[in-house]
Amino acid sequence: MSHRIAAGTASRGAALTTVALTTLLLGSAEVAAQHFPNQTPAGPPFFALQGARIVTGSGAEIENGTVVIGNGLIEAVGENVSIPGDARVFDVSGMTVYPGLFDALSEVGLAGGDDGGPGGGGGGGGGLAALLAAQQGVTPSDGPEDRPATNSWVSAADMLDPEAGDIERWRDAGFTTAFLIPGDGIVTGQGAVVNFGGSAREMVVKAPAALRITMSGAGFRSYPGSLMGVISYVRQLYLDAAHADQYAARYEASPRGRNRPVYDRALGPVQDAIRGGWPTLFPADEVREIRRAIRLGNDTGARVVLTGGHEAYGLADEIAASGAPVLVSLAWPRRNNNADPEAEETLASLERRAYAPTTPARLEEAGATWAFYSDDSGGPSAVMENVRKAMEHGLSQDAALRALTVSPARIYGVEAQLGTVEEGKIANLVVADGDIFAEETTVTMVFVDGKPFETGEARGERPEAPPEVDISGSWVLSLNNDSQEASAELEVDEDGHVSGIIVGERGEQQITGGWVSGTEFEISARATVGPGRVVEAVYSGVIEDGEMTGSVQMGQFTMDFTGTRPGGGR
Amino acid sequence: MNQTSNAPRRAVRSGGFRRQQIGSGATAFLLGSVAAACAGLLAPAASEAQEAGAYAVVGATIHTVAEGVIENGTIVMRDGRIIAVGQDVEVPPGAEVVNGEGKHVYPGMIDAFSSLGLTEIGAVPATNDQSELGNWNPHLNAHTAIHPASEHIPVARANGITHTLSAPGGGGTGIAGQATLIHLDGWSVEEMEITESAAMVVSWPSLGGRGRGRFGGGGGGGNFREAQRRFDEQVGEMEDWFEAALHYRDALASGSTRVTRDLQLESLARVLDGGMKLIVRANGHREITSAVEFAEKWELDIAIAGATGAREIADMLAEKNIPVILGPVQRTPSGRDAAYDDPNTLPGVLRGAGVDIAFATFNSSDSRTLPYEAANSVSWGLPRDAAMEAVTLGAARILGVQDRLGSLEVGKVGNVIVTDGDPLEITTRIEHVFIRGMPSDMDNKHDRLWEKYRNRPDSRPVVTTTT
Amino acid sequence: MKRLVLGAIGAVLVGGAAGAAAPAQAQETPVLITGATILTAAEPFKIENGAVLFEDGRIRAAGPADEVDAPANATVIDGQGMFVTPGIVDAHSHIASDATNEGSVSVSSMVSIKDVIDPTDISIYREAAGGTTTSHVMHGSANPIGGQNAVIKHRWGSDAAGMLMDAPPTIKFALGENPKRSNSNTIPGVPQRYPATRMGVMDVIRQAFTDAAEYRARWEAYEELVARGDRSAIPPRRDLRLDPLVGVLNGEILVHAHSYRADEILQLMRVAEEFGFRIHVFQHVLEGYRVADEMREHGASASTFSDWWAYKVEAYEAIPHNAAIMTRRGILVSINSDSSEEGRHLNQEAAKTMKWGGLTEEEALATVTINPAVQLGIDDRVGSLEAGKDADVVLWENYPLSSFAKVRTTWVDGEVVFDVDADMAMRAERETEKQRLREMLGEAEADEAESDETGAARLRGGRGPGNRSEERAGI
Repeated sequence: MSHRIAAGTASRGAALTTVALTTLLLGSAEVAAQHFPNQTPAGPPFFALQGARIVTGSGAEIENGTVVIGNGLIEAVGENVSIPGDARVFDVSGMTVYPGLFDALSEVGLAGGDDGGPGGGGGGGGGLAALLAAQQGVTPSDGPEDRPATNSWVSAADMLDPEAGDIERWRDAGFTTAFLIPGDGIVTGQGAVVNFGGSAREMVVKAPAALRITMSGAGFRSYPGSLMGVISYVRQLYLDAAHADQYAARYEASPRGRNRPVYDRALGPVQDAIRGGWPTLFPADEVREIRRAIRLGNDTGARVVLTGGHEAYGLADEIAASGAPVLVSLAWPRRNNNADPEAEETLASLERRAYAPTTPARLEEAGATWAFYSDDSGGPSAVMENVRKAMEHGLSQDAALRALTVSPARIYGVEAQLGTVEEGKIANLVVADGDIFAEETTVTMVFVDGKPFETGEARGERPEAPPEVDISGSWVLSLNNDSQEASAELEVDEDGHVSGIIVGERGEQQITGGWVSGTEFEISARATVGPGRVVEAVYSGVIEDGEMTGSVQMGQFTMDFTGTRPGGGR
Repeated sequence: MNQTSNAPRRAVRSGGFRRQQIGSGATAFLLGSVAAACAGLLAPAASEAQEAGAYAVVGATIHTVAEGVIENGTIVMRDGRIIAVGQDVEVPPGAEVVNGEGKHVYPGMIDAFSSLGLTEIGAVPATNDQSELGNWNPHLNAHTAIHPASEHIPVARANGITHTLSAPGGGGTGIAGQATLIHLDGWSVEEMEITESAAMVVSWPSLGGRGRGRFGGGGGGGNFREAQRRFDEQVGEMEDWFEAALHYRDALASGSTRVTRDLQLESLARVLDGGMKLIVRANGHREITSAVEFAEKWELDIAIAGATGAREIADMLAEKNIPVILGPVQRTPSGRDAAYDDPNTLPGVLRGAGVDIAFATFNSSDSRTLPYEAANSVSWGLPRDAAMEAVTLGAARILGVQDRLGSLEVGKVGNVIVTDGDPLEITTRIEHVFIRGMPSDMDNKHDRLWEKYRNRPDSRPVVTTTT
Repeated sequence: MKRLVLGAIGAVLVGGAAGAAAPAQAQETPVLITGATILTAAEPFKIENGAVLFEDGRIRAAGPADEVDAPANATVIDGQGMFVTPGIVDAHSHIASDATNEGSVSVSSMVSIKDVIDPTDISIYREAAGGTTTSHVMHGSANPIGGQNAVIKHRWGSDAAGMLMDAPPTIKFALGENPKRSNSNTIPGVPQRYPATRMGVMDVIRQAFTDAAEYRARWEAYEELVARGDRSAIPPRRDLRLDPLVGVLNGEILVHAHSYRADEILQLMRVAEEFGFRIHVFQHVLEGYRVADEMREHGASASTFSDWWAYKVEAYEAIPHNAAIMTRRGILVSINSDSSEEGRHLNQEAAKTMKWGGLTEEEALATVTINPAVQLGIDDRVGSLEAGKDADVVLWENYPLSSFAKVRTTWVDGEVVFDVDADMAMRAERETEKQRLREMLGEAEADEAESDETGAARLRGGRGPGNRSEERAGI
């Protein structure tokens, strides 16, 4: 499809291209003052998509329509729309145009994974990650007054890394937008709605957009150590925020004779959240977690957004009645294929696996507000596969599309700007050669903020050579001179994409991506290294004579490893 | 009845005689003559016969375990042995007599696997001697650490437990060491010993894997292949040890003078030669099956201890004549979908299939609860007589001492308890305990404290300071 | 009768996992157990050839069989040769909760077990199979002042809220080796937690109540200002840690103190007296037999183990006669489990008090029924078979204070939560259901295809997650 777009707009040039775009959009004097000639061509930001079937998401589909884009916004949509003379026209007849997909919860594009500190998937640049890690792991807290795990002052919008490789991967699949929020701590920080394109500043659509609360305690190390401690901690946090507000108001009215309020950077954003009714994400996968989160919301005044929802299928009416939106994880519970074949799966586990994919249809029926998020599903293609699974269990195509477009936009309060193909909205669009949820469909082109991006299909950045070695199946990994062991179960699809799981000494690592080409391979995985702390691990190396050799990079640490097939003699 | 003083009769029995036997036995063994070693250990010490007097329980219901129940019966013990059991039995002149009217007489109970004498206070490492460092300790023997003055021993004894296999254990997979069969009344371990090396205790590898549950399977996380690999590796290690022991033994037998003595292999070689039973701690049916195959390959005499997952292989165990030491029955079923009464029904199922069973507490301070382990199987299919047998004659059989212990028969050692009812019933009181034909002291730490504090004078009024 | 019972319990179990579950069902049919020996745990204690009638979740009558008439629609159970007792009340349990200790701090009164009830814990069912119908789910013993506890009924199949009993609030204290961390390893990089001595334990408690008293005073001062119309008054900061301690000071929250040694038992009573409150129940209290008089004078009761000892230094002087000595000295005593295993046969643990120290049958049964009910402040509802109380009833196949005892059926609020026949039927039903789910997931084994038809039929019948609660009520 690359012939449709001038090579110069390929996204690898995005960082430079966007310097020019920024000037156009924002008229930033600062940027303008530092003029440097473009290193990739940037044509005028005026485009038109002609002859497409348009799924607007806001009403009837348009069979043969046109979308006009200018300065990052949708200028017109319809059957008989005139195309301005300055627009570059793409003939997309036979194609379908959709609103850009919106991942309702993600950490893709947050800095810290590759070159950051051990804070990894949410640390935010070496400095911040190190700071958070230091505070959480080492400094024990004595009680609710210490708040090392309340990172409410941390903002995803300040942690963006437009160069993060994953952005491209998701955008290629049609994801133009995501809600990003760090993952460290009990209150992990302020999230942002972000477009997958442009510079860090251009990416932000709305910040802050929400708070996120995890329920992970620190054990006997530090308060709160347990789930019930976390619940009490959150209650006290909200009480303290409200009290601080009240105290500050009285104090400002008459400071004399009163002690000044104590500075606490953690409380301000919580106060703002209470006042502003920010959505607040709580983990809520199992029935009792869902009920706990709703109750905690009632008790604290937090506007609860339930996250996970795999057991929401049985509680759809209750959830709808509560008014709490649900972010449904697209990482459906999976069978452990490495389990003891004789250890019979429990009824509870079977029920979860059988019924979790019915959750979307049940929520839809009950009239609940809900959206999809990618979670640890393993990447964009797995996400789509899992959406199809929900559709097999009764979810309509319309509803599925809403859950990936306008519904998350509504939950985060950006439905005026995003989520549908309508005049005046941000021009986030997907062009596909068929039904976007169909397995065989390919996304051919994506617009983010009115800017065209070529998809990976045409780019082919991974080594092109086909795999020469078989990486699929079981491996025993020996790390760092045999000081640690891990095992891996790998699967490879036809084009050499690797998926599967790695089980290390400290738990499971979900593989998020990877490839094999020739004898080389690279596998990225998410490793949990502490309560609520996730680090990206990148295994790379070669396979020769059926053995792996390579190195793994986890945050700032690098270890050598070798991999052998299990059972090769005792 | 008089509680005869322990001191004089005990004093006579110690001395070098038995130690010599053991010493010479070990030498004999090295020369390949195992039978000689065992003979010395099995025969009751000759000196005993002179000190133990005659005792009789008259007019009681006698539960012989081996030969039914005798109503209004009399049992006579003399010189440490049972010399008469029956209805028309003459009490020898001078015998001390217990009036058995309304009472019941049973053999003393045997806790087939415990840590009695090896531990005192669970949380205090200084008092714990059952679990040595390292995984391969065939040369260690419980009797070298049994503390005869442990307060746990009189506590267990007062509830009718007269014998136990005191066993090393804990730690990881491997060979824990040799267990000693003792009776629970003696001034020194030498007086208590029945069989110094009654069994070699092995903890079989588990497919549950290291860090239990992580590779355990089920619907959750875990990698079974990894667990299987580790399992095979560990069984292989076990194999290596027995191979080395075989080599060692054959090398010695060849008359070579270059072989240096190896205490570990020497001990294992005794197992190889049938001089010691192998008690394998294993729970899952695959682990048990693996152990049974191992034992067949090496022609070892084994028993399985634990065996919580033995249900599926009951027939195999019966067919191959592998006995099982069960316990605890009072445990929670493993796995969410397991039947609530899984632990309770297992003994009946095994016994029903024809497996020899015994019960054990695998504990020390709780050893007195042994009879309730058996009782908790009775309403779930284990016949009441079979339950009683399992804690007496059945256990004796598994431990290879059925010729002397476990039932009330003429010629057997006088291990007898006198009760006011079924000893498997909680509320039953154990009134007398005879060990080796002599009455045991029923006093124990708990009764002493009870006596002391139930008689505490009413406390003086306390002046409370309320501010 | 069997069929009725079976249907109810089967539905509960098959759905037991994710348990979208609503509150407990209301009893639909009156039940009369007749011809059994009734041990009421009240007066009269034993009724040979007796009958118990319960309806709408309440006991209507317990008395001689010929004096209790059943309504026409009642399910009648012939209890000949069997025994009936009240449901067992476990005064110390840690089942059914997603957390036990908030061990990071010395005073964790801000946390509550009520927040973390796990209604799917299989122990709830398994203990019901041993006759336990009510449990005091307690915070752990990691701190001198621990968290708030919860009282649950074993309404298997209901949600967390449905299990919680409306009982007086209680809080956990702990003395001795656990709060001073004698037997736990230090965590690298984390400073050792204060306290490390029994002196320190008492100090933590005194300091906490000193703070609580001051906190209470600050609130009283503020409320007085407001009452006087001072609109600029700023309320003190709400402190979730001190709120419950004020509750203790005010006598509104009952203290259950984990304790072992006689001296620490005595000292805690003195500290409580200093601040004007009472230790309601000493838990474990293994050396209670040494200071029984002092406990009685203070007004404390005791909840202990039957025969555990020697697992740590402070348990080395424990004796199984503890319950008997304390009872004889005028203390209300219960026997508790502190274990999901022991919680399955508390009847047997109670029987041990007859053996060790000679409690009577009445006294022994009371240690696991009415006495713990009194200790939890719920004796108006549970703990004995008396008209008007909750229909928490256990039918035993044989004498319950025995190592041979076996439960036949357990009811909570008049609903069957365990039945020995239904349990057997449920096992088969669970296998069928598993097979159906495997088919749904496309993972069924080829050789089990014969059940295909049933599975498909049920799918057609609309058996899906949506109507699970109807199932629970219906089948």
